[in-house]
Amino acid sequence: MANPLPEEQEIYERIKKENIIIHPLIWELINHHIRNELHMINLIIGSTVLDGEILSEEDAGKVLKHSKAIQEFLDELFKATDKE
Amino acid sequence: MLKKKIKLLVLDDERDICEYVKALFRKKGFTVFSALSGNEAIRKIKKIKPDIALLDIYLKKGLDGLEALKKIREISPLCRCVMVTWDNAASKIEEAKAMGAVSYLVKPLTITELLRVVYRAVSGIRKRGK
Repeated sequence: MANPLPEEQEIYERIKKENIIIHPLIWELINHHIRNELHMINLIIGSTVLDGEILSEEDAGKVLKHSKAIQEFLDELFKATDKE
Repeated sequence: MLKKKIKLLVLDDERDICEYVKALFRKKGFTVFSALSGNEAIRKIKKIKPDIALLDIYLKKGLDGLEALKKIREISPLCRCVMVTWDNAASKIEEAKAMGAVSYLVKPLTITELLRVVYRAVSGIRKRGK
């Protein structure tokens, strides 16, 4: 997990207190893209770790592909939701 | 290793997911088949009669995973179906379980979780066989 922001706990408290929500359509996109890509990364790395093997170049390339897909999805979502 | 080879079918429209799941369970002694669509899964289930099916819910074309689950329950009622999806909505989980899914896993999951649930299904099959 990335290091928490200096006031991250306060941010969560504020979200709860002010009832700040994410539109269900956005949740659907986040869940679909992020969960699927992470699942794929887990399968690739998990299989390698389970067998005590070293990650092959091909598998490393696949992990990078799925990581890039997360980045591209977040960029797309940002573009679609940024109204400034 | 398993005493009798258990037949497992994985349904997911992501080819890579099918390939990694197939490789994982083949190493554990299962006979594994995959399908990239619900329709392909139904065709294979009629022919293979798998013991366990891992079903993604949201598929690009044809039947979705829940529709496939319904058909599998008709064709091969003894097949233990495990749903594997990103959708963590309680209503979807209830719907799948009411339709006969033995487990509902939310992506992303670890290999350990996947193995644990599949071995639990295997254990159910063994008990049934006694």
